[in-house]
Amino acid sequence: MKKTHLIITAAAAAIAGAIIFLIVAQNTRKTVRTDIPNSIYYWNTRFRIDKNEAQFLKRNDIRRMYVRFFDVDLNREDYFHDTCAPVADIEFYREDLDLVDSLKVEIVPVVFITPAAIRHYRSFTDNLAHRIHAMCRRYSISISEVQFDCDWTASTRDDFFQFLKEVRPSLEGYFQKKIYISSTTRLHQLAQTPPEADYGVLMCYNTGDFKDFNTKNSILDVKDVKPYLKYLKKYRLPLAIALPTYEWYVEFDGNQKFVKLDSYFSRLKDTLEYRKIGENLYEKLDALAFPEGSTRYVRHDQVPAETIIATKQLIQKKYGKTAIVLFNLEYYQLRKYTEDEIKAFFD
Amino acid sequence: MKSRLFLISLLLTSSLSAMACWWNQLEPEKHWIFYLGYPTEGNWQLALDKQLKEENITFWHKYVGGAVPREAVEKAIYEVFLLNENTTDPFFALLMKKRDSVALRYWMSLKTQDPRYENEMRWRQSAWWYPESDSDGKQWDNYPFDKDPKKQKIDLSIMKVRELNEECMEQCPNRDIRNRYVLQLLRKYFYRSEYENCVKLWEKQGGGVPQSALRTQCLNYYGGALLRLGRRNDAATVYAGIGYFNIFLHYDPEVLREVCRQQPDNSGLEFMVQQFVNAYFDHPKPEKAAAFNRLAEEMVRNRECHNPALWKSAQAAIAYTSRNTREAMRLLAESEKLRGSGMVKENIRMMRLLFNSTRTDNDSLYEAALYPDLQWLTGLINADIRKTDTNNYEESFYGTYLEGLHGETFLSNLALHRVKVLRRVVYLGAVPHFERIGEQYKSIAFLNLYNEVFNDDKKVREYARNGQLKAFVTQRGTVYLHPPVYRGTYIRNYWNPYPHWFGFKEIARKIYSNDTWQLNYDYNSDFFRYMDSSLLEDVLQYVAFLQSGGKTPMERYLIRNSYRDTNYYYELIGTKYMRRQQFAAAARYFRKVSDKFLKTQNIAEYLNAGRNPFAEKWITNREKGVYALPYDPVKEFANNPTKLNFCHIMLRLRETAAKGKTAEQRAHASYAYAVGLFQSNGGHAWALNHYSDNCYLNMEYLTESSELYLDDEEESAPDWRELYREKMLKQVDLWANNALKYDKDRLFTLKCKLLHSKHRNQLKEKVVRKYAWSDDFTYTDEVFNKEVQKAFCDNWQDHRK
Repeated sequence: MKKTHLIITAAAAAIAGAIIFLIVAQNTRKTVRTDIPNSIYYWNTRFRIDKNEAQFLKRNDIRRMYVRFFDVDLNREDYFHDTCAPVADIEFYREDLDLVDSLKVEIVPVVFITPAAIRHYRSFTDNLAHRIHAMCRRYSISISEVQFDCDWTASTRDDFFQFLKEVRPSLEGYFQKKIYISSTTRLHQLAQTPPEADYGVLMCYNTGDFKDFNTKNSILDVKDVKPYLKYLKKYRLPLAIALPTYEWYVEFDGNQKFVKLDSYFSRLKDTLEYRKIGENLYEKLDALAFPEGSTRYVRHDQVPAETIIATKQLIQKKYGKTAIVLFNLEYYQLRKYTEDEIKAFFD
Repeated sequence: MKSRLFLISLLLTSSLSAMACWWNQLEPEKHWIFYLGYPTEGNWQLALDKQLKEENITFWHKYVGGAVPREAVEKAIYEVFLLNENTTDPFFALLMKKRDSVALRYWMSLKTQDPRYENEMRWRQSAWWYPESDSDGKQWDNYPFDKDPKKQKIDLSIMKVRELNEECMEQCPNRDIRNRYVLQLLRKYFYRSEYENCVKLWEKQGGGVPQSALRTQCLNYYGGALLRLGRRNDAATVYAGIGYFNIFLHYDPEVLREVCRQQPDNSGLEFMVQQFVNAYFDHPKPEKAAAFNRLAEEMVRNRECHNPALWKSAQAAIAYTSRNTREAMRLLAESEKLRGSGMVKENIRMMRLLFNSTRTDNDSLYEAALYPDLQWLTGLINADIRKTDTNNYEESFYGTYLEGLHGETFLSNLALHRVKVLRRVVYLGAVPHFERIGEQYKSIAFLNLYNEVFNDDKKVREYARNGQLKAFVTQRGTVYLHPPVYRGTYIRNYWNPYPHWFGFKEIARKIYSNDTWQLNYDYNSDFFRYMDSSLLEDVLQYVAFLQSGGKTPMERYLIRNSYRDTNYYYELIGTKYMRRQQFAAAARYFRKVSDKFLKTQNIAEYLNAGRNPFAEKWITNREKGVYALPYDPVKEFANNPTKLNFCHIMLRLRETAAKGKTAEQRAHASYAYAVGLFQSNGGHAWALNHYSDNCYLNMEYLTESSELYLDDEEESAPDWRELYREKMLKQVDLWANNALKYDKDRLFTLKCKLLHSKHRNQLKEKVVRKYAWSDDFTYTDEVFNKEVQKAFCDNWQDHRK
């Protein structure tokens, strides 16, 4: 009896092993870093997490937060010493970091590097690693990964790739441990050779030109994503997918020329001041406010849940299931989606 | 008639589209067209530090009359941080023994602190600095309290500089040591942000410091202090004088205007204009171009400006970048007539060549415009190659350096620029131009010219002829033969393709001595790959062009500077005929190729009896089928495994298939022919028709399926390999079908069916379905072969019963 029991147990273990093996084998492109639960970006200059945002993190079991630490740009002030310099530092607050820590959310520093700066990467690679280390030490942030965001093109590709190669040993030297490197991947970059990072985060947003009056939705239009999908199948870098939950308001003058971009525009709700003239287009009624007598238009770009889900499914159909990252943790923008919709983004 | 026209148009479109696809791989890399010899960025400071270090060691070594070894002097200067009376360091001990108070006082003033403090100070002054903790050790505070870490005061109490002061310097009787005091004091003032003192000191003492790395470093601090005091133009003059140009890296015509207003003949202006034009190339902004053009016009008219050609040619470059080629040519022609430095004049000629290469004139005008400048440029490059201490110019050109047996070798920025200009002229100008006007052979000739520029070093060839070959490994782990005997040769280790994983240099050499290296890609440069993938007709036309000797000076020049080894061309043409199953024509060419040449090909080792094209690999491990023929093709090939012999056997099989005495002989000949086709194209005898991995890229097989290729949709556009296979398998099927007419022998029928793609595909589908999770094509192929054997054996057993 015992023997039979043992045989059955062994057989069950073998079958389970085989299933695990098959699952692992099917996901050969994925790495440990893309095999994660839900993640979100935090793209702000002040690290403040309010009650609603904390609840959002908890409710959706978000375990990783990509936090923009600073940007790197050409140094306009003191280029004698440093050709490039960090700008727009994030400001951390102890209680908010403690809150995130208590929710067991891993922080991944993200550094945005401007295309102009990446050309001079040699002048800052080591300083950048030193700085990330200093920031992490100061705020007792334990990290195991750093992400770099750069809109590289064919002309800056070599510089960015070389930068990634050189920054890894620098970071590992300062942190004295293995540091994973990830990189954001824009849709147009899919057509190019991928960088030597551990994985990439495919940015499925900013697909249209927001300055163009005729753009329907500059944040995400499935039509704009489709042409790039053919590259996904053969793309060698493991990818996570970043989906947009943010919104913005684009203001145009009477000649339909771009004026400015706002992330918040409460007056739009005032029907005496603005009139809805299209699906997401508003016209200012009070033309007197502008001396030329010209009117103004405001386009409210936001992405409906269906579009987000459709985009995700479209990509996953080509690429397979992988981690999802939402952009961005701002409760007033996230609240437009229901809980079920948010769950569907992550599922 | 209609069908003929359709076929012709199909052939034309296929050849053009195929070229376009290949073309994508030939695009030159990023390159700025306006270049005046100034590095765009680089390690100026590193180079200066290195130079200063050398100069310093040499000075002190000489100072003690060589009584202490040079290494000991270096150690004393750079590794001893704290100096006192009890020192055991041989250098300082010697100074003490000699009671050299002058030198000792100097060193005592410096060696009183750990240099790590100074590094920390530098770091704290950097824009990158981020405080790790407060001065009292608290980790948390309200940082950033003033939003700018640079404004935070540096705690200078950590500096313990007690002795270093101007009094010491003035009392020093030794002039050389006094100069060293000047540098140390400038440094001290600079890092304490005492810029006024820095400037005063240099203006008082600087005149006595002779030209040296020391003086350059002093000026570097002086310039920095001026800049920080707001004297930008004075700083610009200082920096231009010492060749440090990073200060001018800003893409702003207003900065340019300011410098021009103050000093219209500042030598830094050349660099600034170069940077401006190239920044415009990257980010064209019309308003900046307009502002620049206004300034340039003023400068050309300004009598104080000694370099008006610089400004005019910069305008031409901007016009060209704005796609206004006609205006660019006009401005360039004007700039040629103006005064300008030598480098500016060279740059003008380079630009003229670049602009002319993109002209759309008719052939004779185009060639006439291009020829003199092209000849001049290739001449410059050849001279650079001869001057450069490297035997692998192309490798250096692509930015990696040779490790191991050579040491480091870099090309100068100017040499790199010249090669890049030639690359642009060839790849973006001449080749597309001649393709556009239908003179394909001239496109090939230009690629050949470019290819040959890298192989012009006669010393290398001589070296190669003497057989003094060595292997070396680059940083990337690629192994090259030195000198490069074969064109674009890349070899790899058979057993260990990644020797660099295990400390590459030593292991690579060790493995090399074991004779396990093999030539992997032969003739692996753009030109040779282009030749391999061109249509036979184009290659024939090109060879005829080479043999003609050329009609115009340009044609003669191109031919003179081409790779002209007839062995190579005959072998290639023979192979191309063979790919089309024109074995008689192929044999005619193969007969002309020397044995010596064949032995040096990378495919030589794959042409052996073990890779017999007539062996049915899928049943060789079982009972072999035997051809019922008066001769045995397997044995005949094994006796002489060459392309020529393969052609003879295939011709003979074809003859037997048509005129064999019995039906059985005719069927067996057809079957053997099908096996030969299959094995020599996709099977283990691939080396008969292909040279390396790029074998699937041959245009020869694409003409019929071109409409599929032209389809842009990802799903419906098949892989090139699939197109090729499809084409060849059709041919195999045709001959297998011929053989099937003889159906009296059941085993033979089974063999024919197995070779037939329909049955093979059924099996393949089964295998792929079964192992669908595997992306590894090779693995699936292996499984497929096993399945084939199994299926065949089942049938075989069946047949026996």
